[in-house]
This record gives sequence, structure tokens and C-alpha cells, in this order.
Amino acid sequence: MTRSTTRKATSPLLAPGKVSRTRTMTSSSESVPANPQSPYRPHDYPVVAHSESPALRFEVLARCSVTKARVSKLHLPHFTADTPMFMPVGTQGTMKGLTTDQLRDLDCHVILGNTYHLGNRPGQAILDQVGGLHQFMNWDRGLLTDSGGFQMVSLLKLAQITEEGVEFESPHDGTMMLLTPEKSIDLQNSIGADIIMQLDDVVSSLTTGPRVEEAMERSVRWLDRCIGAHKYPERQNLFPIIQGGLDPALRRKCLEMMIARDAPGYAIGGLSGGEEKDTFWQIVSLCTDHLPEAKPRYCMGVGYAEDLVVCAALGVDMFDCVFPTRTARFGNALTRDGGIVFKINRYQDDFGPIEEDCSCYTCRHYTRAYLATIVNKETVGCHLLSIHNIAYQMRLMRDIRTSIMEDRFPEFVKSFMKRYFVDQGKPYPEWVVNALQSVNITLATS
Amino acid sequence: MSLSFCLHPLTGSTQGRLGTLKLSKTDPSTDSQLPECIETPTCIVPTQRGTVPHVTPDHFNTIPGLGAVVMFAEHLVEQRSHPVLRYSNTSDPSTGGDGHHFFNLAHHWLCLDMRDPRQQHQAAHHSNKFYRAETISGVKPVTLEDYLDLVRALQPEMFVALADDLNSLDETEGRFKRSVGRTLQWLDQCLAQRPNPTTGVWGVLKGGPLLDQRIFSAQQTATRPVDGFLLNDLSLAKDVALQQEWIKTSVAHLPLDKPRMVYGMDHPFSILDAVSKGIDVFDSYYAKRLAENGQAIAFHLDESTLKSKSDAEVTSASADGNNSTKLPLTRDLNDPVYKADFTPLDRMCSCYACAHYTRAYLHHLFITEEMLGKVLLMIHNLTLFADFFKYIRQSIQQGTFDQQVSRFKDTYDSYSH
Repeated sequence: MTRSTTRKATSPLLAPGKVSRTRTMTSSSESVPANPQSPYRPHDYPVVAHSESPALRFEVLARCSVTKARVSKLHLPHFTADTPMFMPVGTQGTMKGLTTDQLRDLDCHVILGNTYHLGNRPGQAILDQVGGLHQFMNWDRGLLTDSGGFQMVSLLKLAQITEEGVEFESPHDGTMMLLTPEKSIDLQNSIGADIIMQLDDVVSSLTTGPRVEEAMERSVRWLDRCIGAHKYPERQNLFPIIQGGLDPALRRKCLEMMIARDAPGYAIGGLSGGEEKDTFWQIVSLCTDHLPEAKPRYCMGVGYAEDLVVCAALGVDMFDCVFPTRTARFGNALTRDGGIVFKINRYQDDFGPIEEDCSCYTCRHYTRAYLATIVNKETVGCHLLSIHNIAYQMRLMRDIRTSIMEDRFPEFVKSFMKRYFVDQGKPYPEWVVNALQSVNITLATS
Repeated sequence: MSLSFCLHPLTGSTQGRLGTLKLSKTDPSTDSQLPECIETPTCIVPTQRGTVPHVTPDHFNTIPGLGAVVMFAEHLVEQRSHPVLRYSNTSDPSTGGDGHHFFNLAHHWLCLDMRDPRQQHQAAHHSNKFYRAETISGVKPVTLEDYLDLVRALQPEMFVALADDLNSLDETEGRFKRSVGRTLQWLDQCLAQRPNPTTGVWGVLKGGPLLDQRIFSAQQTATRPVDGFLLNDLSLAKDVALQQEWIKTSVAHLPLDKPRMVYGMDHPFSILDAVSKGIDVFDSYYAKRLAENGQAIAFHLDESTLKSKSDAEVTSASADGNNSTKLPLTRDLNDPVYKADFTPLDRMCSCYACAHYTRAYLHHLFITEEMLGKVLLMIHNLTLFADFFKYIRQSIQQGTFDQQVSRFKDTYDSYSH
């Protein structure tokens, strides 16, 4: 990694689009030896950069000429996904009441499973017997699993982290259990997702002091243990997770060490934990500046529309969040004009769909007036909102990709943000203005 | 009359009736996706707040053999003024439409009824002017006009006339008598005032435990130009035997050439008994109740399945030292025995759930209380429940209904559901 290309995260006036372009030589599109295991299939589209790993081929098809955004094809063992993409979260091997046919119709390319939950139920033995989560849940497209560590820390009060792993009290019988990097990978090997995550030492993004550095250093050591334990690198991609808290120096150090491991792709972790949004985007931007151009970048736990647009502009390719389906269960629908809260006696005379030009099943067949009478009462109301909310996220990502391909991404960002904020009578959030300014998009404040 | 009901010639010694419900006037101008006719015996699918429970219509529409759904006004008066009442009046012609459009149930006949028979009800203080509907937001007084407004808005293929429904056997004899009288009075008003003469009207038979009143109610209703008869008070009967008794009493005084519907049959044996007593339409609540409890329907009425089951599985069950040589009617997916069972729910079933998911996965969904479990079991149970009626019709057609019934009862354990 060359430090010369590094921008200071705090200097948003630099033109990072140009900076990142100078880095594409790390991945010129010439002659990479053909890999018989590769999911790559011949194609007839131009590729501006690519990388190849045993279980993944990543092809950058187009870059925005202004921002750091790009469009890519992510060839995974089970599916070829288009990025930037949003991955809905199906925690326990199911997507909140939706059938896998409905998920395919929604154009979901990759969905998430949570290792901690799946390890509890159905459990590793069942997953081994059936041959993995794809088989178990009847899903033939991409899957990604987390390491299980985040759930330990967030769900279990008594979790203790040692060099060996995460020690926690079993919620079932109260005995002390230990999740090591080896155990996490072992579980994820049984689940069989296309992309699996290293076990990292998670600290709250609000933590400061030597603990942050310790966690970062330990995450690198655990990455090596994960790589060592990984049984199926030819069919599962192990992604490191960049740590280092909110400290740019620690982040750079972590980036340097993890990039040296030459992983198929990288996740940006340790964010979305209540930190200042202005810090959040600067850390994301710092990471995308340093991560290899020709490898996928995954920003964990990001799912609000404005965050997705901003992070795509900063050069992130993959996102996941429980938000669209969780908010559906609370009776909220997502639209480009902001959220809609369905309550009884609301939208009584509104016989339009949730969103006028949305082509999802719910919008094609149901009025707001009717939906208001069943949300929070009938499970079907919840299913219908989940369908719309996932469709909304998928369309947003499609719009992002199309506008990048047609090199009009900045215009898309501006019109999206105007409609989302200004037209709703809200000012642009300052962090959004700053983040976009750092990639040469100026939001006009009236 | 607006629905036609055609009874097929009775065959052999079979007691069940085979019929066809047909819409007498289909609008040739519309590109209607409704089934032209419904073969009976059949089941009608109860909705909640206008939606089939748990299953979105994209999946519901793929289940073969379900011709009609029933909606309950009780759910629609939960709020002050249901939007469906204004839906057909909306000035935008693209949104103007009927209940089929509003509830996205374009592929099934709609039937509107007042009371959801499966809901817990308290007292029944209806008056001549007001039906008191019990909703989650309190008791709502509903006038006959209010009810007919819903009929006007939904434009269902058929509706059940307003009836003086009683919810307890503890009511006095006088109250039961008054119920019979008021129900007839409301029926006459419904027939006279129905917004559209082509909408079918079901008359409700009352009488509760009073046999003379049941007879009177049936005789009087039979003199009206109704399109069919509904027995909606069977849940008041203490046991299955009494239910069948009430059915027998009421049906004896009905004309042969009109369909009879009952609510509240919750056992395949009872359904078969009621079919042999001349009942044509049942509700499918049973399939939903089982699905919500994690129970998959496991019974089949078709000849080949019954035969193979009785040959193979029954003997293996007894070989396992199982006391009962009979097969269970349902399969409880909560049972850990399915934890590692990677076979489909039912080899004989071709529903979406059986084609794509395993017992182990369904077990997982119920153990983790994930919503998809109910979705998939609802699809499966409705599919097999509709199949059950298909084979009832087939065996009546072939004149083998009685044999099939006794074979079915020999094969399945009556208490296993």
C-alpha cells in the first residue's frame, strides 16, 4: 500500500475521484490466469478493473467521473451480484415472512444470515447434515454470514473478550461458552455462505483510549487465525473487517496489515454505533481510499437511504441492515419522499399506492387506505410492507448503479437528496453536505 | 335468484350431493378472472380484515380448488368508516372498483357475512334496529343499511343476510324464538333492499337448541327466494354428535335444489358426516387454526393414497410397537422428531411448501417463531384441505363415497389433531 495516495480524512476539498483513479493500476484488466474454480463466466461488457480469488471474481464496470462511486459485478459461487448492492438481513434463515420466491422476485442478490442465531438453531449438526443454509432455506442465490461476535457483544451482557475469543454465558443453560475465531469459521463453514466474516474484536465506536488499539491489533491476529481455520477458501470468501475505531491512524495501520493478507474483499467495521455522522463518513472515506480498487468493499450495518447514497459516492459496494424489514414490522413504509407511518384512521381516503411509480407487488395491488387497516393487525400487512421496503432499497441501488453507468451519478444524488430532504421541508443534514462535498458534489442550500 | 345451483343426479347409495354453483349472470364485457363455477362439496376461505390470514395473494392464487373467500363486516366496522365504502366513489376511474380490487382478491368469489363465527363473542344485544358487532375497538351498532352499504361497496358475488346471531346456549327460550323471527325479518329486508339483484343471498337458519324452532326457521327460510342456506350456530352445540343432530333437523326441511353451507366443522370426520347429510359448503378455518399451531394436515381421501397408507404405513406403525394402528390426521411441526427430517412435508402434496421446503426447515421456523412457518403451513393446509374436497366430489361421482368414508375413518386416528 502506498501512503502517497492517502488523503487526510479531514480535508474534504481534495478531489478523491482523481485520487482513486490513480490507484486502478493495482488491478489492470489484463491477463489474470484462468481459475477453473472461478465463478466467472465470459461476458461482453467492458471491465475497467478486476480481481480474482478462488471463490470470487470482482469486475468494476464503470466509475463515476466525479465521485468515488463505481458499478461492479460480484461473481460469487451461487450468484453474480450487481454492486453497489443492499443485502437484506434474514437472521434465522428466513426473511421475515417472505418466501424465497418472493425474495427472487424482489431481485435480492445476496441475503444475510446471522451465525450466532443459526449456530443456536438449527445448530451446526443440522446444517452439516443438510449441506448448508442454501439447502436448508431453499435459497439459490448469494448468502453472507457474520462472525457471530457482534451478537455476543450486543445481545449478551456477560460477554468477555480475551485473546482466546469471546467468552459468554449461554442463554440456554447459563454455562460459560467460548467463541474463538476458529469456532466462528467452523460454524460459517457449516452454514456455507458465499461470503463469511472474520471474528473481530468489537468495541463500541464511542470507546476511546488503548482499548481501541488493542481491539484493532487483536482483530488482525484473529484474522490470521480465521484464515488458518478456513476449510473452504475455494467456495467461501473470507472478508477481513477493518477496525481501528474513529482514529484515522489506527484505521490506516489496520488497513495496511489487512490488505497485506490479500483477501477477496474487505468490510469496514466498528461504525454505525452512535458516533457522529461526520466522523462516520470520514472513516468510511479513509477506508475506501486505501482499500484495493478492484476488490469489493462492504460497509456493515448501513441501510438508511441517505447513508446508502453517500457511502456509494464514497466508493462502498455492499451494505446490509435490518432496518427495512424491522421498520416494516412497526408499520413504516419507505418512500423517496421519506417514511410513511401507517396507523389506524390515517390515509383513510388515500387510494393511491405507497409510492406512485413503484412496481413492487404491494404497490401494484394495494392502496394506502387498505394497508392502513391491516398493518400491525394482520401478518399479511407486515409481509406487504416488507415487500415494498425491500423493493424500495433494491430500486434505490438500481438507480445508483444505472446513474453511475450513465455517468450522471452526481445529478442523481442531488435530485435524490433534494426530494428526500428539501422537498419535505427539511434542511440537508450537515454531514451529508460535507460527505458529498468531499467527493465534489455540492448540495445547493437555498 | 342470482346464483344457480345445479344438483347432479344422485348416484348409487351415496348420500352426499354433488353440485355446481354458478354465477347466473357474468358480465361479458369484463375480463373477469373469477372462476365461472364452483363444484360442491367445497370449502370457502374465511378472511380477516379482508385478507386471507398469513398468505399474500400471489401465493394464495396458486392454490388450486379454492373458489371463494368470505369477508366479515364485523372486521370492516372496526373503524368508523372503512375506506372500501368510498373506494368505488373515487373520482379517479383507475382506482374505482369493487371489493375484488380493493382487497386484491380478483381470482375468487367474494361472500360477505356479518359475524366472524370463529371470533369470541360476548353477549348479543341486537335490536330490531341495530346489530351489535363486537370488534377489537368495542361494540359497534350496525344498521341493516350500514351492512347493505358494505354489500354495495364490495359488490360480492353473494352475501349472507343479516341474522340475529346468539353467542351462548344460556340465552332464554324466548330469546332463541325472537332470534328466529328477527332473522327472517332481516332476511326479507335484505332480499328486498339488496343493491344488486344479481347478488346471491344466503339465508341463515336459526333455532339454537330448540328443535321446533330449528324446523320452523328452516321451513320459513325455504319459502323465501334465497340462493342458499347457512347454518352458522353449530359452534353452540356442545359436541360433534349434537352438531350433526342440528344439521339433520335443519336440512330435513330444506329444498333439495339449493346449496347448504355450514360454519364450524373442525374435524374431517365431521365434515364427511355433514356431507352425507347433504351439506355442500364448509369453511376452511380448520386449515388456518392448525397452521397457526404448527400442525400440518396429513390426511388424504383419495383412493390410491388411502390404500398405500393402509398397506404400508399402518403396518409399520404397528410394527413399531405403536398401540394405535391408525395414522395421525396432522403432523405437529413443533415436535423435535422433525429436527433433522429433510423430507418434504408430505410426499403426496404438490403445494409450494412441499415442493420447496423440508420438515426440518418448518420445524426450525416454528421453534424460532418465524412468521414464514405459518405462511408455508397455511399454503400447505389450504392445498390439502381443498384436495380433501376434490376427493369427496370424486368419490361421490364414482359412487364410492360411503366406502371411502369408512376407509378414511379406519385409516386415521380421530383424536390425532
